[in-house]
Amino acid sequence: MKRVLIANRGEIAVRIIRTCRRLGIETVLVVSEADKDSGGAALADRVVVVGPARATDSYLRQEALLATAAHFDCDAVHPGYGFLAENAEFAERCHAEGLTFIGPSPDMLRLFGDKVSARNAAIAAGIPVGDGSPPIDDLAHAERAAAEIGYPVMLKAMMGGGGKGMRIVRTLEALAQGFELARAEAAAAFGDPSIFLERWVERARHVEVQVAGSPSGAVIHLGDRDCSVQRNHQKLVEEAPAPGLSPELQEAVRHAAITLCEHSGYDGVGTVEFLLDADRGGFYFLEVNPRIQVEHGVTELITGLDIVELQLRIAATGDLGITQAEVAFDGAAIQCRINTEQPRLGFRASPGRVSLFHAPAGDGVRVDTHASAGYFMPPYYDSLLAKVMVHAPDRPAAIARMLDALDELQIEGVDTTAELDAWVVGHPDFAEFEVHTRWLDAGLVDGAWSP
Amino acid sequence: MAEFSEQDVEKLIRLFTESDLTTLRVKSEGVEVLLSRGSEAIAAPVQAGSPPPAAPALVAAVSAAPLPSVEATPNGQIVSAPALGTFYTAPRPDQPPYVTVGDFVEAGTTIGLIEAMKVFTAVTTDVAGTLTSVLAANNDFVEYGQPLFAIDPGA
Repeated sequence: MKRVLIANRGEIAVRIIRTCRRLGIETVLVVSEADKDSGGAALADRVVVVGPARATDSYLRQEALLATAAHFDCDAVHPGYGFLAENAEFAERCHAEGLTFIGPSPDMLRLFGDKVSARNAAIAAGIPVGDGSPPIDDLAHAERAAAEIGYPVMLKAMMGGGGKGMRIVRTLEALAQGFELARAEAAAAFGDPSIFLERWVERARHVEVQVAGSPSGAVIHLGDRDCSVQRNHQKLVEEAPAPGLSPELQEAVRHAAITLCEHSGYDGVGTVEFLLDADRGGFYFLEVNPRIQVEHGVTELITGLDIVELQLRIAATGDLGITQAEVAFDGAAIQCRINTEQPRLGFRASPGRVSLFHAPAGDGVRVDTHASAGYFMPPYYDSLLAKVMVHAPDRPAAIARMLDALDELQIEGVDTTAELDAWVVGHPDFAEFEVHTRWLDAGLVDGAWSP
Repeated sequence: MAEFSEQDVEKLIRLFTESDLTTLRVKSEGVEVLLSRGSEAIAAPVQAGSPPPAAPALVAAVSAAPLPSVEATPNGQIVSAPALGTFYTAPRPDQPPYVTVGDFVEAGTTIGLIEAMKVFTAVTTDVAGTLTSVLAANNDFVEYGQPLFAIDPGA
């Protein structure tokens, strides 16, 4: 592999270029007209303007990307995340043009790009998927199903949607009444009293496992991450390893990820995401992200591995080049996403000129960004401006280091989530790891965050 | 003024960012752009028809901007590549070029072709005038926005 086309933008373009440079691989970066002055453009060996700002006319315009790769004799395409990273058709077109698509095979992208086939793959591999009961229309069946699932359970109308016809039942004693009410509500709202039971997860954690598989069938994991601090289903603070898991649970989650990959023949770098029930300890398959992720850096910090290099190696040689026994874990790492948003104004986007940009540095601090002072944050794409990461011997030290790093960070000209990040990381709930996927939304609603 | 292009909006944001304004609302033929900064929430929308005093100047600056694919140079107006790909001066290799230097071209005329992976994009001119130069060669690989033709609208 001598020359790679980078079909992405922002911080991940910079991230990929850095590894390519270190490995002596040349880079051709495609940019939209709006990204000509980005950090990636300054680092790439060659920058090619593929289209106007609108992504559908630039970063998503497959023929322009393929024509660029052909013209500059690239041998591979790195799609980054988002845009065409999980597009099986694009991966196939790359292969048809003699280009290596740096990612899993098109078959894998299809398998895990579809919720139903992904879920079926997990079921086939014996991974818990947190499925519900079949439709139930008498109390005796409901009691048996609830006992099997474990309380609390959610009663849901078969025909329901939009939060209607849903009822949480916490005890066997409450089931009879709840069952009748749910049926009556379902009949009234949807003209059909059918209901089914589902496990109700009061406090769900988002735990994921970084995996890598080779076409020959070798699969390893690079440990787990927790990404439970989310606003409106968007991750904000991520860390590795996932804190507070018992050794047995941690092993079970990692094993499930490996099993799924082995069973489905997963052939690239990816992430298996799970929902973890913080109260009962069970976990359930959510999805597989067949690409590099925004939060890969925390895994790199605790393993000392370069995940982009791993992607390139699998693509170039078909081998992982590392065994599970060689993967060692050291300390704790946390990442805060610095998004150009106005947290006090409903997270409205805040694009524009970054007049001052001072990144924190020092021992155990890493900042991935495409920005610098004077950078114009365009309004057309996602709001991720920078990722502040820290690494320390243990989690309390990582928290302290992150608070120092965020304090050192200075950004002017655009509003960012930095203050909110600091509030999260400095919160007692975060220190105790009492957070879950609805924790931040709830905190924002009840005004707990109001600096 | 005509429809807002992405470049227009970006330009507005640039101007807004560099100005002291806290709010800017621009309306034009069904398009509305609202910019605000800092904690100056848009609690009470600016009334339509009465934009802040400084806004008209900005609107004027934007509407005076040239169309995206054409810009003024000493040579006349530049027509730039509407897409990335291989630039062709003729519809087919065995046919004469669409235009040659000295030709008068009407606005809206196709004067070139760009191909990427068998997808063809016509290069058209938004201005009428005399073709003064062809700035890329037949079969050249051109990037989006690369200058292709110069047209003198005065002749």
